[in-house]
Amino acid sequence: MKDKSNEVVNIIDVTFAYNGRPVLENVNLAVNRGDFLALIGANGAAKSTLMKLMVGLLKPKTGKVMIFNQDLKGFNQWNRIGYVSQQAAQINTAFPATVEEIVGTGLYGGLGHFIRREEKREAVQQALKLVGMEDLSRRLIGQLSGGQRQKVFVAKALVKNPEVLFLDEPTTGIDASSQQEFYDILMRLNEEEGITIVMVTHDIGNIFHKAGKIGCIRDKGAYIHETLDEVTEEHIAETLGYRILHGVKEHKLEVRQ
Amino acid sequence: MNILAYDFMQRAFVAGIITAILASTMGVFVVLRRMSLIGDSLSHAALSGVAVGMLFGFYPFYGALIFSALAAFLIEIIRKAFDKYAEVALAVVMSGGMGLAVVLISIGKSFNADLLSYLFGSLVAVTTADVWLISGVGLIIIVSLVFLSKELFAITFDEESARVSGIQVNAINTYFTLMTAMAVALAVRVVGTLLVSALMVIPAAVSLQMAKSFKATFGIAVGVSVLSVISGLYLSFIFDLAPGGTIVLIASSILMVVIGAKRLQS
Repeated sequence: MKDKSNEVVNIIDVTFAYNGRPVLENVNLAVNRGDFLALIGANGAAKSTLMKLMVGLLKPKTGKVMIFNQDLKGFNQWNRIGYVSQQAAQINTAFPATVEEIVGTGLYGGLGHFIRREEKREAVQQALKLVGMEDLSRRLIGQLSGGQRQKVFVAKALVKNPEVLFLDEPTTGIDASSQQEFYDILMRLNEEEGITIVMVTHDIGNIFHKAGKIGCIRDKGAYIHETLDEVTEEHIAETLGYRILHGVKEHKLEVRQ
Repeated sequence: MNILAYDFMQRAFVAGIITAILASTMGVFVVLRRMSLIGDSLSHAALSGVAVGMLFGFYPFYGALIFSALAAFLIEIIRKAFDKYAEVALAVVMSGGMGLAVVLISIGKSFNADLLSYLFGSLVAVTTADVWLISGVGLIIIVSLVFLSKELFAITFDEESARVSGIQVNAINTYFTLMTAMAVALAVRVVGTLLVSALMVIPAAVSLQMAKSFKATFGIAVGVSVLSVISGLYLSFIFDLAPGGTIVLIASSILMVVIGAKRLQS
């Protein structure tokens, strides 16, 4: 039975190390239903590592990851989770599959084999509609632009009607206007569809006023700011290693890298 | 001339068509996973299995199946040690398999001629026992592929996302490796060690040039493969040519024609 409590993810005292070198130490972090959390940090700050711990791709050395109030170790309700991996941005663009087929792979895993063809088609169309890609369902994935491809990957993650969407640097390599459109879709999914969103990003300038919560990953720890008002120029400078020109108070940043 | 009037040609067609379907289907996944050379590595290991069978007096085909499977797992182990240089594992197993085969050949001098039939393929020398084994193992592989095709598609496209969808990626990958090894061992009997990779890779290459969907990719690969085997067998019988080589040359010609047509089109 689905648990409808407020807690989506709870990371408790998690430490993680690569080859004995700790990259995260005693991290505590909670994501609640309806949150739009952006995890920011410099290169190598272990943002993606933290996200992989949340979705079970990595196992913590010590501590515990809870998802929907269950220990991730025994978790099996994967249809409640949507995930857009960093790998998605680097896919082989010559892969011979249509948009429709790729979004459909999001249904496999649990009971994918038993879904009727019509039901599958409907779920795929619905997911494509959420990202505004329903007219391109018969196109080959390689015929799309980078921005369109990312929307397809989001649709693939949405096809099982998940309650939370994890995205690992989804806008890498996409032009500025496509990024803007992409973030607008995420905001709409969060506000209108009630999907909790956790996103790793470098793109502080665009995401800052859209995310409701900012997680700064630095010094092997995670510092969560529950509202944008809590975030100061110093926080961002310490986290990213460069200063903001202005706009923190107005929630609209102009950044100098 | 009715070439199907001959028993050996009937067996050749059955074994050839089953192998063509298996090799091309596995080939699509193998090429998309950027492991095109795995067929070469496994087939060389299979050859050493054939030599072991001949040396110790058991059915060589069993030797091919066992050694091909062992080689597949060895590739996985070596790949983990060289995760950024995946091709190292393929090269090591290929040369190791060939090395072992050569040593075994030098020990058992009497079976050199028989072994040659596995090196270059001897479709027309396929026995009834071979046909039964190819049909049985082939059926297992085809049923497995049909049952796991959706999961294999998801894993091949984006392995990380597949894991988060709850797909048992490690178990399916291991099973796929084993199925690839089995398919290669069967193909060795048909086109021979030296040409098995071609039967896996060329039909997949043709389909990548033409396909407009993932489903179509398999249809085209299987079509090209079966067409090559049937016409190759026919031509080799009429003109007294080596069947394995003829099959591969036909498949290669189809690929060249498709590439040429696409260039003209664009």
